[in-house]
Amino acid sequence: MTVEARRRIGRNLRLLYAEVLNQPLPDRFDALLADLAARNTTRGSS
Amino acid sequence: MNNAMPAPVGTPQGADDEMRGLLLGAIPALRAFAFSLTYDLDRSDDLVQDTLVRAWTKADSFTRGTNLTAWLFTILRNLFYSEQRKRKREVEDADGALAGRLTSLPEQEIRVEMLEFQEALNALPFSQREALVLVGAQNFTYEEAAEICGVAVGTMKSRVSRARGRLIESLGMNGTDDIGADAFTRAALGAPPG
Repeated sequence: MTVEARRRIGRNLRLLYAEVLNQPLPDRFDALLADLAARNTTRGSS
Repeated sequence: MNNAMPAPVGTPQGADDEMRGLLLGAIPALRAFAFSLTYDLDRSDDLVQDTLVRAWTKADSFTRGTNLTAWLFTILRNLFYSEQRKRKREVEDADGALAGRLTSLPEQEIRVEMLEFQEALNALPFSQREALVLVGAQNFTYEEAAEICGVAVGTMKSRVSRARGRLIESLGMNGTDDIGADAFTRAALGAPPG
């Protein structure tokens, strides 16, 4: 197996998923983590 | 504080601001991995959300200083497979699911190559495709990928190697000349896939 072929496969794989990787994060994740953190402080000892 | 007292539900010891930041930073990679499993962005985001919740509530079982992304991938993968078993939904319904998305790629030639690549990828056994994604696209080490999938390192290595071999074979990547040219031409002439 050549280095070139291996590199090409890696590049194609990343390209295939690049669109997802480069998308802005949906707000739901920020909200979710904030929600989880809030759950912590209300139920935690502080 | 009394150590014998069990932590209340929802207050894992490891879950804090630092963990929150780490989780946020890992989301893009998690989404890409979920997408590689599902080919469905909505379902991917649901999986990522479940993974974050699970990670947060089990944060105390994560060892600081180890690879958080690998830990998260393990969680996501387990969630995916248990959901998959419930749904009994076939994984291999993914052919062409990416085709529409690829239209945003700039060059027609790249689109064609990517479609061929995707077809070849989808033809791989699922375990090999997953191995290739983890090692080839997410840049995990063989050791990390093996841990994520719960297999021996040797198994992971051979899966990746076989996956690469099959891709090279089916895409005609012989490595000596311009390896993409044939694929481009065949696709441009409307030859039937694979």
